[in-house]
Amino acid sequence: MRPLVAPIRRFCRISSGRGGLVAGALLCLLCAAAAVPLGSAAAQTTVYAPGDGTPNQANLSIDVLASVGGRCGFAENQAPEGSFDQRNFDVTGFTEDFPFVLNCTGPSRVAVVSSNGGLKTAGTAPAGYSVLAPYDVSLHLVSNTSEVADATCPASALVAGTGSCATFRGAASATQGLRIGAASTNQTGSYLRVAANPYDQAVGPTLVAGEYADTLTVTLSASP
Amino acid sequence: MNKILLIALATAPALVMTTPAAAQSVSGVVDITGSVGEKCIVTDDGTPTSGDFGGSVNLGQLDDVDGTLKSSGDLEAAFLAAGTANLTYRIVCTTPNTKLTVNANELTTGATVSAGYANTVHYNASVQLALVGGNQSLSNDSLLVPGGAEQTFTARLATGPTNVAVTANNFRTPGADDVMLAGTYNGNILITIAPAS
Repeated sequence: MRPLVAPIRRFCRISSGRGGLVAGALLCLLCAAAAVPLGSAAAQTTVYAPGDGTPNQANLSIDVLASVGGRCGFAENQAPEGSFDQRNFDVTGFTEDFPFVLNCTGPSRVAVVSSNGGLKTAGTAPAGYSVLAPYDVSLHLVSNTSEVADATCPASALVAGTGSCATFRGAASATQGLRIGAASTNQTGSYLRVAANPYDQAVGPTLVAGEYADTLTVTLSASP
Repeated sequence: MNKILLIALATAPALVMTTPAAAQSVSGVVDITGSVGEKCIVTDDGTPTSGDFGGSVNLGQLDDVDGTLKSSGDLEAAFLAAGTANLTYRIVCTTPNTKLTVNANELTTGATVSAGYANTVHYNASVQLALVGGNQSLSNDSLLVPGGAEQTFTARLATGPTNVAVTANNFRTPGADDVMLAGTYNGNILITIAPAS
């Protein structure tokens, strides 16, 4: 930028001295208008062509401001997806992790919804029996920094609209979900965990025989 | 001029992008499945000496003052005196139906029997199940060999404090007036509860 100022001003002086052309005057006006925002120092400094005096250059400072908007999603093919099956889970219990990778350039939130509020089988249970088996859902979020976020809620508290897990029930939004306050770009280590201890049939209610299922929907949102 | 314009063009979009991007939402789906197998679970086993549940009953002295077997009523009372700790249990099954077998084995002693004497006491054992919808029972007499046949009850076991109870009656010797031989008498009642689809 700096080398342009002297030739422009010399051109303007030359044009004025020679009576000037309309086109040259217009160009000078445009150049002047463009040069005004460049700073008061430029307006007070005369820059000479080499051999006509000094200085021969002026320093211009231009502040360039920019930002990148919040980008937030799961890394490609790294969303928390998959399936898990445990035979006779009432006897064995279970623990299973579903890893995922965040790709968020700023803070984000992760939320979960359980379709059944537990592992459920068809039918109606008589008194003392149950067709719904409880289990816990945990979230562990990692970031580009040492900041992590952890929370656990029972699946029964993750039913859309009615669950009581205020921490991460529902669809993720800027204000809903477990929040990680730092960017997390392609960091491995985040996971969703489902877990249940062996079911205490002595305490009950007794789980009836059958096939049980639940679906968890995990959503992610930027949380500026 | 060109450079100045270039700067202006470069700055303009940068200023536009300073507006925060709208929050995006993406999702993943996790499916969890599992099974609960068909089984029965003993949750109150009584005081078993073997097996999964059970208890012990000591009838005491079997013979009456004349050497014959005490009355069945006396022995029934003695049996019940063993109490709930030995004679009642709690079992739950995950299946909608319940299978039960009862096999009563007579009380015997090792002494050699001769005419007019007895080394065996027969009796009838009954197992009462508390089922959803009401109680049902199944009996077996020790005189029957082999033991009682399996029966399926089309109801779940109720989940009250206890839901299986054992009683015994009709104590008797092979001959009505048999004199009891001296000795220690042992017998047992075998109960099997199984899940049924």
